[in-house]
Amino acid sequence: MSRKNVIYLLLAAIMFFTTIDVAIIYFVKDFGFVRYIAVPDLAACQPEYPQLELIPQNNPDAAIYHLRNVMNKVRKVAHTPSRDISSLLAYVKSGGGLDCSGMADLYLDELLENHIKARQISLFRDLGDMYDSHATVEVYLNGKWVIFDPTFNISFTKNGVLIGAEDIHQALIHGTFGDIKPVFYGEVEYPARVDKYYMHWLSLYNNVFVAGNGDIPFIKKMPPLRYWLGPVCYYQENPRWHNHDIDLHEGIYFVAVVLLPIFIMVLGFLLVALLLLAWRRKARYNIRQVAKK
Amino acid sequence: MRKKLLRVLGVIIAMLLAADIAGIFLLEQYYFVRYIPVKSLQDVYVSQTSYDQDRSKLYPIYTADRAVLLLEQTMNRVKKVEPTPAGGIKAIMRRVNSGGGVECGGMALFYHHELYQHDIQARIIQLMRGIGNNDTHVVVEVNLNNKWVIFDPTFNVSYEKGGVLIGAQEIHQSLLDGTFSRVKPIFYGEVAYPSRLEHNYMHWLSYYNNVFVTAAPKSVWLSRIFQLKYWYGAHTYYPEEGVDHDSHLQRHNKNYFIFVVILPLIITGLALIFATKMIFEYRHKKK
Repeated sequence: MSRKNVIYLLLAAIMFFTTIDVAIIYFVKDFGFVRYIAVPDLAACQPEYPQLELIPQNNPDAAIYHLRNVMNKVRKVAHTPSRDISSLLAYVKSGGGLDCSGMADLYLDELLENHIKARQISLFRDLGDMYDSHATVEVYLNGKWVIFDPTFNISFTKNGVLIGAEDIHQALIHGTFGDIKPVFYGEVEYPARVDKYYMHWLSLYNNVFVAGNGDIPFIKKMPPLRYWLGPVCYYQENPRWHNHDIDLHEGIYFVAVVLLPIFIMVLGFLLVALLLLAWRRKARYNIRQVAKK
Repeated sequence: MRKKLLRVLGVIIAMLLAADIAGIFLLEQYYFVRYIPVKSLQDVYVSQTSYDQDRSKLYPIYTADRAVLLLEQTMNRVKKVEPTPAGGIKAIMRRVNSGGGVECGGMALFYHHELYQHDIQARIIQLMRGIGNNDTHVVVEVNLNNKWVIFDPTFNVSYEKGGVLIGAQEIHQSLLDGTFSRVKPIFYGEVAYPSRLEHNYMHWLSYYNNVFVTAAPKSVWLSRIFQLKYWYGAHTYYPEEGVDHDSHLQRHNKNYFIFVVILPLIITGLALIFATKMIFEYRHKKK
């Protein structure tokens, strides 16, 4: 096979695999284009904020104080325009409204700024369904994670004890949800209320994820580094087969973000090397021709 | 020039084919069917199996007794829980007659077949905690007083809300609107089939997060032609619940249309052009 044909073949192969990769990314982007990591104990899962010293809480007062504070800053429900905290704060100051993800971002930021150990939680009725979804925050209180929801100004209790998102998920799976009650912390400016919400809160806890630290430099979001250094979500590993759909997403994400990009890059290097060789050969040939003349 | 054009065309066809294969592979993981939204599942009564194509002889029942009696008889004929064999009702009957067991899907088909033999209108309901998830269950609904009511041949239960027997869509609605605490299972008593609702590895409510009535292909032959699969292939109905509740299924449908209709159509068109050009090239060379 001539060198020219090899180059054409390489080019075609690169385009072929890039097309597969683009098709897969188009498909899985709606499932949240992040890596889902199963952990044996979701309670031990705290996203890293290396610059902050975070302190567990012994009573809920500080968490409730900051919850009210954030919920009195925002006066309407609207689509969150950005995930960047400084632009969100400026936007809210100018009278802009936020949805649950923006409220969770603001509240988490305020808690972390005040050194309160907290993490953001993503909830989905169905994976890939971005509408029946919710974002909330958990604070580490008395040795366990507890929901403080900055959209509805509530926590949840089970038999009088404050509980976290995974507790509600487990209750949904095992049928003990009858004992769970929302606790409302009183009127605030932000107008969303859980009893007026378009659906009941329970089914949102069908899929519970702890969101990783979202503040990631652009270079770490690029494949194949994205898989190891990019955005992640953690979920509770289950001894049974509950998480088949998440495992599937994880496999597809690995193929789209690691395998195919590495394959394409190797082929790209080969192509460049061959082109360079061809160019050098041609240059030498031209020099020889000139010398002959 | 003509040769280059052929090469470019060949590469484009290969690329589109690759994208299509990748898309179809992914669709298959999340059930390779078309999801059709309907206002209410109440009116959905379609052929679901090979034996229920002729449904003119089937009628609703007006008391639950016959359905409960057949449920008991069915559940006394199967004594173990084992993976359901492939091959439809014939394979299930063979398995049951030889003393083997089946799972919920097999029990549902077996019970549905018994109801069919007794001229009772019934349909099979697929339940999923999440699409592509293995937390699934299959139950049967019987047309009782012109209302679809669950008779579950795995757990020997129906469900009631406010003293009235209800169907899968009503449980699903109860999950979404928060009235699920009023839904109660009714156990019809001990039978030989050993599964019991209270011993299941998860609570029944989460199964009702997604409720579907599946339908057999409208035409087996036409569904084999790829672009026609969308209209004539297997499909499944789900209750439409307003704008926001089914975005993941709408997206699945959009992807299904792209990968089953649009891309194969473009590929076929380009392949035809490619073949014509090749023939011309060949004839040109020969001359």
